[in-house]
Amino acid sequence: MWGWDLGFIAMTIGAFGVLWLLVKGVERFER
Amino acid sequence: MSSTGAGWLQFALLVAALAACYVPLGNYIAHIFTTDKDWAVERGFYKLIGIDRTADQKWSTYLRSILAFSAVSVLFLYGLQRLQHYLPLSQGLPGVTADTAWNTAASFVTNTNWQNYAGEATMGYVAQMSGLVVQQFMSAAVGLVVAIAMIRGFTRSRTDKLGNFWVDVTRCVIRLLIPLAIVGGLILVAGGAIENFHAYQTVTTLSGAHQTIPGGPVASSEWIKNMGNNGGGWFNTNAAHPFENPNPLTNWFIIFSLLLIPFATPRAFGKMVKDNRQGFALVAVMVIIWAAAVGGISLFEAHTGVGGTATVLAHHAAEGTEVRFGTPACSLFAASTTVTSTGAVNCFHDSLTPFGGGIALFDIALGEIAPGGIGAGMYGILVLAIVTVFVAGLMVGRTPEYIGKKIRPTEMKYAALYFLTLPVVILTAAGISIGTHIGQKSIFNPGPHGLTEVVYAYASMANNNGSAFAGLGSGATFYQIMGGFVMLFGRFAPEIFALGLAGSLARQQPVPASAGTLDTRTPLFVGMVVGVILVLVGLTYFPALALGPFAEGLH
Repeated sequence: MWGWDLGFIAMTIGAFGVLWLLVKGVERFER
Repeated sequence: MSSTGAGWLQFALLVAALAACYVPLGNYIAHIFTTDKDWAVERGFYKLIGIDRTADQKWSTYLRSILAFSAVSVLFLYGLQRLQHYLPLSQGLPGVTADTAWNTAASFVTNTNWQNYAGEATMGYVAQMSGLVVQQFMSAAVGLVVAIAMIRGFTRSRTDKLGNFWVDVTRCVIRLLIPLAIVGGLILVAGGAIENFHAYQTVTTLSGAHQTIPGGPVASSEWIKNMGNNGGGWFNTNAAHPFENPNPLTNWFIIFSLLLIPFATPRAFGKMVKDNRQGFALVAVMVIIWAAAVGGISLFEAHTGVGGTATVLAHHAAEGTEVRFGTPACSLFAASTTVTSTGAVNCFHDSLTPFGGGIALFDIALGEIAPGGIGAGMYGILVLAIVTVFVAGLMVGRTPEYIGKKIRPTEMKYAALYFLTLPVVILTAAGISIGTHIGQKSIFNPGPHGLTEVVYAYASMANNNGSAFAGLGSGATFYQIMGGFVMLFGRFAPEIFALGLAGSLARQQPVPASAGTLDTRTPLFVGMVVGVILVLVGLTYFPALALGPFAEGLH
């Protein structure tokens, strides 16, 4: 089960990482 | 009095009660976010977490605070559920399975409260109270502060600072949500909702069978669940369970609670932009759409001849309806829970007539703006108001301005990205689910009804509603993972574009109204916003609505 736990933690970090990059992309679009 | 008459009386009382709260609550919300004075408890909290309350944040910093707070919340909530068997008051329940725990964590942090589990058979008391209920406060607060930050885009000029997320969210929880939740929880306790820490009791029924009677601090959870437009339920049957919603009076208060803050927020908007008529125009749009939804669902649920033979014989579409409340109260609840982003139910939406269910789906597809989720409805309708003044500018040559700010190509790009995000997320996820073997395996109803179930599920998740049509096996790992991503992107991606738009507006110098400025406080503008909302949603989701509920209803 630890494999699943690590997978879901990675998915959380990945999803918020994509959103973080989206913010960065919008900031670049602003400039 | 007939049940239909009672239903309309409940609706009239709701309108009266919400109208009475509109000014005082809206003014109070505006005061919370504009006053310079901190409460002692707030100052202590800022000191504890190391926040400089005078430090305003740029829109992107404000957003990163939201994302960081939400990411940590998802991980904490996930761990809490996985380890709940080590927690006190867990009622002997094991740790939640990994996929359900992740889906639930994403669901509660995004204010969705989509539940792939039966609450009373899955979650212990501590996991519910210190995990799920805490998020019912926090996710609601996050939604409202995004709306407030967006309003500051109109009220500020030549700056890109929209406030301080940590200050806003602290004030929202301490000054607004906790006091109202205490009052509301006491109302529900007085009405008969349970509030205890009893262990589950096994009793022997008169027929000799054994039945387990659950307990729990339900009333305190129930009010914030609805008032924060979270949804779901302590019990699997949500507000159809007598411990959660004991009688028609509590049922009315629950519907009132889920509409209370969303309908008062436009007043806060009007107050903050120093033009109350602007807020009145937006709340008028919300009331028109809500009333149309209530009328439409009530018509199709109560009217014979549109729900098949059983409906005709029973004079109402009564299957799946909680008999303590009846079809009219079911229709009022279904419309109110889907136009807000609440998602709690007191009857099964899968049992609504095809057109009644189609209206519920359409309500959600509107993007939760009438009145929408707490805060989310406000920033959603502001984006659509901006689209409306732009369309009006194209049609009759008016200068596209809104609340003294020019709507330039930059603002329209943000508005377009905001509006396109949800259909892309919803329809892509639905397409993958329908087009793959692994997705098809969990669609239990063939034909148009099955399509409606899938589209409804993803529309509900992406719009942070949380209500569901039954008949879709969303507990399968595929749907748990897909749903988790849909909820996270459906919640936060539009907030990125909304706050980007607010930042762009805040940087502008205000322009004085001129002869070419469209007056956005008139009935004409109200009608135009309603039209733009219906046309945009109608065009976007028409194929799905035509192949799903329309095809089923006309069959």
